Amino acid sequence: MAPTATLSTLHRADGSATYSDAGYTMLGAVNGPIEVQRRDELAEEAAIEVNVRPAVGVGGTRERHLESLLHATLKDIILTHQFPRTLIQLTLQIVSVPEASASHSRWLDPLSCLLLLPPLLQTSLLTLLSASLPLRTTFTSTIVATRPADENSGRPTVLKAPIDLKALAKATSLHVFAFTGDRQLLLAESEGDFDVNVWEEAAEVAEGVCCAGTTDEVGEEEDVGEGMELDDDDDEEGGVRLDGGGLALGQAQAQAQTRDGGLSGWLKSVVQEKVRQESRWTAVQ
Amino acid sequence: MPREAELSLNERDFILQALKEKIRLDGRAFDAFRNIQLSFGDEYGVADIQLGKTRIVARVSAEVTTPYPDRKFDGIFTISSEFSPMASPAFEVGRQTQDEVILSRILEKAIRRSSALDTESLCVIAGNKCFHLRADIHVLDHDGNLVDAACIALIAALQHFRRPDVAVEGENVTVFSVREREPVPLAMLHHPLCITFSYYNEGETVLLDATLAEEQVREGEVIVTMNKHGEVCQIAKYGGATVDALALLDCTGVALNKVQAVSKFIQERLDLDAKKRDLGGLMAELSAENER
Repeated sequence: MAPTATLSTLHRADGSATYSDAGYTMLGAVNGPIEVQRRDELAEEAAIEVNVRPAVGVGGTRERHLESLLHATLKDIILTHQFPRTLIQLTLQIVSVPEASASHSRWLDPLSCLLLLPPLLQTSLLTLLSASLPLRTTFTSTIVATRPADENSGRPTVLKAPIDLKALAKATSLHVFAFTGDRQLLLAESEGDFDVNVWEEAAEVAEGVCCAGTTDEVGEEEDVGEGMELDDDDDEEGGVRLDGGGLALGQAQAQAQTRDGGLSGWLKSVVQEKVRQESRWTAVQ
Repeated sequence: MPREAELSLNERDFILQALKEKIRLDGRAFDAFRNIQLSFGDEYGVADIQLGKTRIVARVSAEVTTPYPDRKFDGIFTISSEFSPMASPAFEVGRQTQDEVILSRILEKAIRRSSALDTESLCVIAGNKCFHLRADIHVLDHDGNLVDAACIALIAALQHFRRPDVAVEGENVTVFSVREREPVPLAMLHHPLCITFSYYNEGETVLLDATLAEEQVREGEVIVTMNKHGEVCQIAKYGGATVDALALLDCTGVALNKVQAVSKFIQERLDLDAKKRDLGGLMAELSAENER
């Protein structure tokens, strides 16, 4: 199942995106560049503020930890030096998470945040793209679960996302990776028992998931960047999925999936579809 | 933090002048609501409402805790409505704005204190175990009339929510998961809804369901909460404009019509959702609920 995304769903925020994948639904909104408080002001670049809001209750240490991870990642992606003495304010609202079933595994422990990290990263990128904020590069993120090498094959088992609950219960370690558009490792977070071999195997699988079919990524991303500026005028119409757009998006996704099979290809198809919608005259209902 | 972008003097004058000529900016009648869309999530107790461009998600969840020592027979019901910068950059994390205070106070009065929810039914073992019901209001998009929208979302979510079934044997409590036993709906005594009236031109013009721009130029507001049987739960008045006492009586009449229409709409959406969940028509047999 490919993840689904809708860009510019909210009318008030400068950029927004809804992302859902394997039971996780997130809503992101970004405002920026806006006025910054004196104490947060940076003389030479924009300050970035990330707020993660859980579906139930108020944020705690887990959300703060996720925020710090996202902040560190996004700081390197957004071209903050273009907006000195301003603030880029990103809010990520977790709308729903998959139900924890009776077979509680330790990964669903409230302290473990790795399962939440890839959807949050993906949502934040889509949100930033929707706001047309200048970015150094795009990135994609995924999670893989590993099991230690068994006797027969001698190689560790690496499971790709989406990981079902049974597989999750058996996994000994979880790894979250994010790769930039030009296949550079951007973020690696791991939990559990594993050694270097297992990690390398996991990184390789994750790179395959994230970056498949991205040979001429850089050139095409620039095109997309130019196209994206169109959506400033008309955010009210909102959404990649207007009218028959949903169907068209589905097709575009399917094509991208068969051609590239990777998240990069998927990301491109989402943005292309949005640009196609925005640069077309549409009848107002 | 940036302040809410204020309307320019020209915009203000334009809106007010138009209202004097009995025209609203979006062409609605004075007593017309914007288009309401209500959808429910896959889980129980999640309601997503769109009132024009205003969008609010209400999520109800339950867990088992110890009741307050002075209220041994009651469960706990809390409503949390924290604004995030998602709705507007003027909302700061960890600092309440006036809108937020008003919203949480009105919801508290309208739904919690009007005992819309029978908290005694949340008690499992008196003084020992009870359900803590928590309602989170997430304001996603802000285009005015948050109070009415949040109230509709909350009431819809409460009606949609099912708490896990419990079995009590002496001091032992078993909480059954959704797979083991069909969860049970909440015992609600009535379904109060808020209707906000905005006043202009020294009380001469009254608007329902004001947008953000209209809210910014209004002189006063009256929030009436009532249920579909016409029982008034609370009336709150904010802002400086004087409102005639007889006009308030008028308000309750108008509010009753609106509340009945909205209640009917919520019920329709709930029935539609129930039908969608009731695959194969097994729901009636699964239910352990007694007919009242």
